[in-house]
Amino acid sequence: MSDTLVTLTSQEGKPEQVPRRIAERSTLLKNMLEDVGESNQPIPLPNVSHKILKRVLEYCIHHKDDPQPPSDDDKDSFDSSRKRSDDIDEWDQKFIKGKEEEHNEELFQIILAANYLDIKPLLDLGCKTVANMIKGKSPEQIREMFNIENDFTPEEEDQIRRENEWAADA
Amino acid sequence: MSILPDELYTSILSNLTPSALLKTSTASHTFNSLARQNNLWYQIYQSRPEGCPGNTTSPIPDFNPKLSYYHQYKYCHSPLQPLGFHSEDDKADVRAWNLAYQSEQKLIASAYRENDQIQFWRKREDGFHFVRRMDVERANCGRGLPQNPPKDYSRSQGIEFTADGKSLAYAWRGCVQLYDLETSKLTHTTGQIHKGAIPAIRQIDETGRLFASGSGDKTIKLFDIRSNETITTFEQDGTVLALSKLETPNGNGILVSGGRFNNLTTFDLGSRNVIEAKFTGTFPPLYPVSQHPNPSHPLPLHPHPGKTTQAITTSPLHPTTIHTTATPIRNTIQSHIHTYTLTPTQTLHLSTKTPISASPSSISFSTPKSPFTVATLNGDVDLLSPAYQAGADGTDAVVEWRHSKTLVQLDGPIMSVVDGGEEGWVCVGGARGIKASEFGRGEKGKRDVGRRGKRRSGEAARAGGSGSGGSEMVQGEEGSEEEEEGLLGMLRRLNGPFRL
Repeated sequence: MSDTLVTLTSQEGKPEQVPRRIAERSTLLKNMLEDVGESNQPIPLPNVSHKILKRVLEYCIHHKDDPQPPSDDDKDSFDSSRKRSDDIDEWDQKFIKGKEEEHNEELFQIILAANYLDIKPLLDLGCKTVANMIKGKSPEQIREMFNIENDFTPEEEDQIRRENEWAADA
Repeated sequence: MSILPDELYTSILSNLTPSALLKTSTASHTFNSLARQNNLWYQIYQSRPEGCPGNTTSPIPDFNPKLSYYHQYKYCHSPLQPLGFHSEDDKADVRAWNLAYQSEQKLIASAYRENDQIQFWRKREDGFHFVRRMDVERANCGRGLPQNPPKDYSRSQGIEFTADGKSLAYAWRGCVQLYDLETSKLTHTTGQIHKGAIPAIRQIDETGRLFASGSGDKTIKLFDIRSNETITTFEQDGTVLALSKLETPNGNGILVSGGRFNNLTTFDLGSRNVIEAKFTGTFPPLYPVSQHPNPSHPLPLHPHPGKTTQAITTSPLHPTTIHTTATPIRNTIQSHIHTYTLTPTQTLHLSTKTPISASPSSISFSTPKSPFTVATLNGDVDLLSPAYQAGADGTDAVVEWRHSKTLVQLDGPIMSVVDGGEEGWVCVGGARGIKASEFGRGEKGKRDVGRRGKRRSGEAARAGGSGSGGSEMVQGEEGSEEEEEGLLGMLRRLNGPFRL
């Protein structure tokens, strides 16, 4: 079964054929394929651009032999163990880095796609990568990174800075 | 305008360390609320490897279920906890009813009404820092007392460091307990010596053995905390709220007691008998029977008619001088601060009386010539500064204490105040937890506080032999030039010369 090809259609309407077992790295597609059964109908993915889809599939192909992550139904898995953001393997690190010049934009797109397609390891990889980027940045650089405005008044900013002082060296 | 939905930001933030998380909170309002989400801090709180610093009994004690995990973590984790943490924004009903200060270690101990804990804070150059907390051991105390005492500040429990700085005495549900500060272990307990709360405990000798305790059961006990022996019991006419010791020339000392009764009572610590309190000086006017709060009461001829004494504090440099606060039982009579000096004939001479607008609850002062602070039930800590007048013999006498500045204002009553003397800070405990205010660090603010102890014993040796009345206030001139920095120096700058 897993050798059959599945057709995914990106935002741009461009089809992409992948082996079913690759597509099933996505919990969303896995459930869909199980529900639909044998079908040659292409699956539309209007939220994912072709470029990002190719990147996501690249990840899925590399990780095709990984054990499936534990089901997300177990809500406690979020709380039970604190994630570590420094244990990313080498290939993943290289993969997520992508092309330097469009790194941020692409990274956020990959996170969104991983969230939409429900590929938990890729979502974790993306989130850890962003977290690692935050670590070395100043608040101003964080704003730049997320393209957000500083909407604090100077008084509010000062108040928050003072409130946070206790963890300054932590 | 954000790139990702909130739940993805949350996933990202869940990978961050506390400090990185807080840094992120400074980016914008949205990030601030994202970074303070309870579930993120729950994970951090649960995963901290080192447990709760200073807590010896349980790894993750819930300090207060009303606190968010952010505050739990902050409270429990960080050695850099600035003082004043539980305040308005925590919405936690944490009342610090009593404070004690140990000047050599610069350690503040705070006791709480809602939980059986003592917390320690240290004054450092850069402010006040949470050190650790200690759980109170039950040790069979509190039997026979109502489980939920009425919400009355008389539940407040006395707390005092021993003279050697190695132990802390704490009155808890009818017992007085002694804790070793190094190990946080209960080393001695009196067992249940009182049938009520014990608002006042006072160490009365330098060995750290003899204590006096004043209770809501209308008794004062004199006991040896190490041998657990009650030496004597004094009956009083009402709840005892304050105790202080005055030095006498024979070295025995006099214990002065005040509370919800119309007088100050004095006890000779040598003979261990009640001695008749004798007063001289200009007392507040007596009231016609018709205006007296208790018309059936015979017209009193003592200095606190119809008033409750909330606090008595002996001057650390002038152990023959006390300040007391007198609060009217009803709001018909003005509250006063009274300053008494013990004369060689063992008479309490009322040298000054100062009207004060709010009901005072606690007094703190460090030096005889510098101002002292008064905490009030309406949430202020006021600084009272001395006004001097040249006497006929050429010496200065304090003739009046004037309100010069409000140092702290809290939304709620303040029950306790300790101060750093020449370092220019006060720390208060009250309905909003504890809070400190630094207001006037003099150039000499870093001076070794330990010297005060030595000078104190020298002062004590001379005490009582130097006349009476207000002139007592200007003894110890040799010490005062150093003492002028801090509180006094600040006042100089604020008010100019004090001289009338």
